[in-house]
Parts: sequence; structure tokens; C-alpha cells
Amino acid sequence: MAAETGTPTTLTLKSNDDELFSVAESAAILSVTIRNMVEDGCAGGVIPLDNVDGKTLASVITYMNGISAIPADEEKKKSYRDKFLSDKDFETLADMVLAANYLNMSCLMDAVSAKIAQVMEKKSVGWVRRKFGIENDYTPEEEAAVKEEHKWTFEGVETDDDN
Amino acid sequence: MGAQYLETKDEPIENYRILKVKESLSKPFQYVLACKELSFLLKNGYSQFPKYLQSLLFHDTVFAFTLLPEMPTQSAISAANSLLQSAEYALPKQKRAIAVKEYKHAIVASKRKSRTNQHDEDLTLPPQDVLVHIFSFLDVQSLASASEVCRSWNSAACENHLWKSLYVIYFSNSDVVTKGGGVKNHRVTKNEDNSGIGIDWRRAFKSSYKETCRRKFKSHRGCCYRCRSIVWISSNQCCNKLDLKDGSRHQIKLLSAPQIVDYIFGGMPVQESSSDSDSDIEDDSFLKLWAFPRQISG
Repeated sequence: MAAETGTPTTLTLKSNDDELFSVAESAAILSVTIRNMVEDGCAGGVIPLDNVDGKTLASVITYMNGISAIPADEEKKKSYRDKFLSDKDFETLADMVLAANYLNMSCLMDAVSAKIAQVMEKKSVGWVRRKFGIENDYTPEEEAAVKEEHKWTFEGVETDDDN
Repeated sequence: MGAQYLETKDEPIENYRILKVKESLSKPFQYVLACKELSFLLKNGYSQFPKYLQSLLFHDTVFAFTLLPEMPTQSAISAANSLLQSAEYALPKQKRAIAVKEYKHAIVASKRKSRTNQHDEDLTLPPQDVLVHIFSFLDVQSLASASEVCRSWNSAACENHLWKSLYVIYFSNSDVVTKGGGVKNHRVTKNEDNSGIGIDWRRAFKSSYKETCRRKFKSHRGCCYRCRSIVWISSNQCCNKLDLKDGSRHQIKLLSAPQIVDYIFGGMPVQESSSDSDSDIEDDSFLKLWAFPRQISG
């Protein structure tokens, strides 16, 4: 790969809603999933990514291009990541963590996971359920038992449900 | 390559055992990775492996399929599917038939299970392995809250290795671990400590947490040895978050308010290789200092 000069190789990625994206191979192989396909020689035509929709894939590709344009400088990469994620809403983050998991991009996965964790931190259970759209499937007795089990962590802690 | 394998009879099988594929399969957050590894081994090594290792691979493959219904994620299903393809490619006829049969059973069982478990609303729920990854960035209280959200979150939040890393952050440098005091209470014996397997880290964490003065950890401050600085802690990390060169996080040690005071006087705490007598002195000043803020906050 390194021996090649001149025009960089471009890959075509296809989202699960049939949108096509061109991306430089050097950026796309940040995804281990894609890198494996390239190394196995099955990235010749269009690479179908069945678990990622077009909107999310577009974001991920923006990230791939952005981060790979930065030379090996961890500080700059980190600030790019922070900036990249700063304007993403919760739904986008949730889609993105799934995409990063599927594409096997550990740097994006960690950054998005940390961001989601930050959103959850110090929030009440009810708030988290609403935000994630989760139905409480505990019986009242079970819920009380789980609560009781974790009482020891909560002395003097207040939750904060704003925003 | 093949010649190397033949030199000593035990080596391949020993090396395979060290990979702990079977153990990893039983952990929801590692299931997919273990499946992928197994499938790669089937495809690329099976024919060259000695017979007893071949049979071990076959058994682990079947084992992976039997576990599939327990793994409620789409990625687990697709990992199992590619494992099946590798099995069909590599295994001899009879074994192949057994593997295929087991896979079909597992798929049926897993569909049935997901139908009974899933409501329309939570289709967007992150799969278990992703959930566990997100949870690894939570602090103790938030992790405990997460358990209360619903059943699947509870099982993700009880994942042993989450509590192990919290344990390391909170207690790795304290007396509890280094001097062995109180360790017996939660069955962390020295032998087990090396592997970390077989320890209920949540329980270990809980009892150590209760033993230690909780206030000790309320400063939200930690000492990051990588950055050589005292930092605010958010999401169990130092504010510089991730060191992505090697994918690992900055190692932090939580500091108590008195230790912050010590820091102001004496600079960075030494990474805990210092002698025991040092830490005794620290502990002493600890108690004295605590007498004061306790009264204020109470």
C-alpha cells in the first residue's frame, strides 16, 4: 500500500438506505471492519454497511476525514474529537455509538461512549428512562429491591435533572 | 509454519487455552469478539491444527451457538452467522452437521426470546456490549442508577469487569489492597488476584467502599500519573480523557480533600511504590484533617 504513489485510492461505502459515499481509503481504514475488508481484497466494488443509515454514515465520514487529516498529534486529535461531538444531539450520539461499534472504530466509540455517559451522569432514573425511551420492566417489588441494593452508593448525592 | 506446530505436541493446545476463547464467549461484551476469533481460527488454521485442538475448536463453536440466545444483540447474531460460515467451510461433514443444527436451534430460540422481551419502544436500545462500554465511563452512583432503569441495563451494569476497574481506581493504592487488610472479607485472595477471575468485584467494591470513609472520595479530584497533574475527574477519567495512541485511558487515582491539601504543600503524590511507613503517616494526617470538615458539612 505504502509503495503506491499518485492518486489515492477511493472506496465507495453504501449505507443501509442505499446512499453512496466516496471516501479516501486512508481515512476509511480507521474502521477496522473496513480495513479488514480492504485487506481481504473484498473492497473492490461498493462496500455495503448494513447497520448504518445514511445520515449517521455521513457524520462518521466527516469524522474520518477530519481526524485523518490531522498529523500524529494527540492533543489536536482530541480537540477535534471534542469539537466534532460538541454539537451532536443525543439521538445522533446514540446512532453514532452503534455505528462506531459496527465499524469497529475504537477512538470514536470511546469518545461517543464517554459523551453519552456524561449525559447520564448524576441524573435520576426517571430522567434516564425518558431520555433513552426505556420502559420500566421491573415489578414495583423488584425495583425496590434493586434500589435497596444500591443504597450504599447514594449517601448525600443529589441528582440533577436539568437539561 | 506447520513444522513449528509439530515440534512440541502440547504447544498449540496450550496456546489456544491461554486465549480463553471459551470464557470470553460467556461474557456478553466479549461474545462478538470471541466469535470472530473462533471463526478466523476455523477458516485459517483448522486444517493445520493437531486433531485434539480441532476437536476443541469444534466444541467451542457449538458452545458459542448454544450461548447465542443469551446474547440479545444484532451484532452477536451476525457474528454467530459468520462463525457458522467458517464452520461450514472448515469442519468435516459430521461435525458440520452438528454445528449447523445447533446454530438453527439457537437462532430459533433467540428469536423467540427477543419477541417476548422486546417492546416496540425499546427497539433503539443499544445492544448489551455497547451498553457495557458506555457504562465503563460512569461513576459509581450513575452506574448504580443505571441498574435501576430496567432489567437489561441492570445486567449490563452488574458486569464484573466494570466493577473491577472501579475497584482499581478507588482502592488499588489503598491499604485494602496493598496490605491485605480486609481483603479476606470479600474473598480476594492473592492467587485469584492475578487472574481476576472468580472474584465478585461488585461485592468487593461495595465492602471496601463501605469500609472506607465515603467522604474521602468527594473531592472529585484525581491524580493522573500520565499527565503528571491533579485533575478534575469526569466519567472516571482525567479531563484529558483518552490517550488514544495505545487506546488506554489515563491511569488515575482518586484523591481525598486532605490529599489535595498535601499536594498543595508537597507537590504531586508519589506513585504508590513508596514504603509503607510513608503511607502510615499520611493516614494519620488524614484522620486529623477529617475531624474538621466533617463538622462543617454535618
